[in-house]
Amino acid sequence: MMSIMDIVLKTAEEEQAKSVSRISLEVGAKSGVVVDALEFAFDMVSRETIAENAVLDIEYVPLKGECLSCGCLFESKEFLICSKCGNFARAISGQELNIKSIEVK
Amino acid sequence: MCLECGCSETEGVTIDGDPIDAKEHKHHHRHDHQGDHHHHHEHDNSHSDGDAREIAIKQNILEKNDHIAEHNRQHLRSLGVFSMNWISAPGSGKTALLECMIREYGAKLPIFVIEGDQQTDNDSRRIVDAGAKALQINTGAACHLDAEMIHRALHKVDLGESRLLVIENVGNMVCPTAYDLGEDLKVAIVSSPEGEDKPVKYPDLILAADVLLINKTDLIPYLDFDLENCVRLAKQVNPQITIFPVSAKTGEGFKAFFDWFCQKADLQL
Repeated sequence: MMSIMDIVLKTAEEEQAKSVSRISLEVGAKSGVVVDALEFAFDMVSRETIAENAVLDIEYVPLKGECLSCGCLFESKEFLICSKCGNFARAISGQELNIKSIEVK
Repeated sequence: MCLECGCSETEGVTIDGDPIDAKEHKHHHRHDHQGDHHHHHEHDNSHSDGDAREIAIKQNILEKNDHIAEHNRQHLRSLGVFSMNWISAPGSGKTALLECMIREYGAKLPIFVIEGDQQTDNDSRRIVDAGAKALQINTGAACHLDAEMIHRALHKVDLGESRLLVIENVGNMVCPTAYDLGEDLKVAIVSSPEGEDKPVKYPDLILAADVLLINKTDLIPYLDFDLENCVRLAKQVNPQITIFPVSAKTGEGFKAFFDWFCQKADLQL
C-alpha cells in the first residue's frame, strides 16, 4: 500500500496538484491482492495526505491462458487448462498490479 | 502497509536483532501536511477550481520493490551465489527441510540462510546448529519479507564461501507471493497434513512459484492425502511448475530436488 501512496504522492507533487480525487488501478485475479484489504489499507494510509477521500477505481484483470498445445486463448477462473483441447496453458494475464492513472485537481 | 492484508511493513523490523530505521526504510506518508491537523483540503477540492486532470502513470505498483530485487539478484550473481525464496504456511517444514539439506550436503556446498519470522531467532539458531550460517530478520508486525529487507541484510553479512542462499520467508502463503526478493528460484512448500487441495486453495503462490515441494510424505500412510491428486491440482494451477514430494523427517525425495536445482544453478559439489 505504501508503494501506491509513494507513487501517487510523488506524481501529484510533480504536477503541483492540490488534491488527488481518483486513483485508477489494475489488479490481476491472481496477483495475490485482496481488493477489500487494499481499500481498507488505502483509507488508513491516505489519511491526512492530499489523497485523502480519493476514489479507488480498481479494474479487475481476469486470469487468461494461452494453450501450450493448440495456442488458443481463453479466460479462466481457476485453472490453466485449455478450454478447447484440455492441455496445459501458460498465464498471459491475471498477475498485474499496476497503477494506471490518477486524477488530480 | 502490506498490499494484501494491510499489516504494517515498517514497525519493529530487526535484522540480526538491530532495528532498521523505518524512516529510511520507507518514506513516511504524511510529509504533505506536517503539523497540519485540520483537513482544509476538503475546501480546496470545491468545484470552484474543479479542473480535474487525468495523469497517466502506467507503473507497476511494486516497481520500487522489483528494482531493489533486481539489484539483489545482480549482486548475488556477481558473487556466484544461487538464491531461493521459500514460501509456505507456518509449520509446513521449511526449517526442517533446510536442516535436512544442511546436514546432508552442507559440508560440500556452503549454504547461507536468511530467516524471516515475526519474532524470535529460534529458526536461525536451528540453522546454525545444523551447521550453516544464518541471519535472522524479525519482521515485527509485517507478514512478509520485501526486497529492501533483503538488501539491508545482504549489506550486513559476509556470504564468504557460500554458494547457495536460501531465504526462508515468513510463514504465509498469500502476502509473500507478490514480493520479488531477487531470488533465482521461488519455491512453494505444502505438507501432507495441510490437505491435498492446498495448491488450489492458494493458487496465486502456486502460479508464481517455479517449484513445489510436497513435504511430510512420511505421514501420508496415516492421512487421507492423495499425493497424485495434489500433484494434479498443482499442475492445473501452474502447468509449468516442477514438483518434488519430499520428507524432511526421512530425507526421502530430497536428493531429487537437490540434484535438480544444482544442475539448474550449475552448482558442482
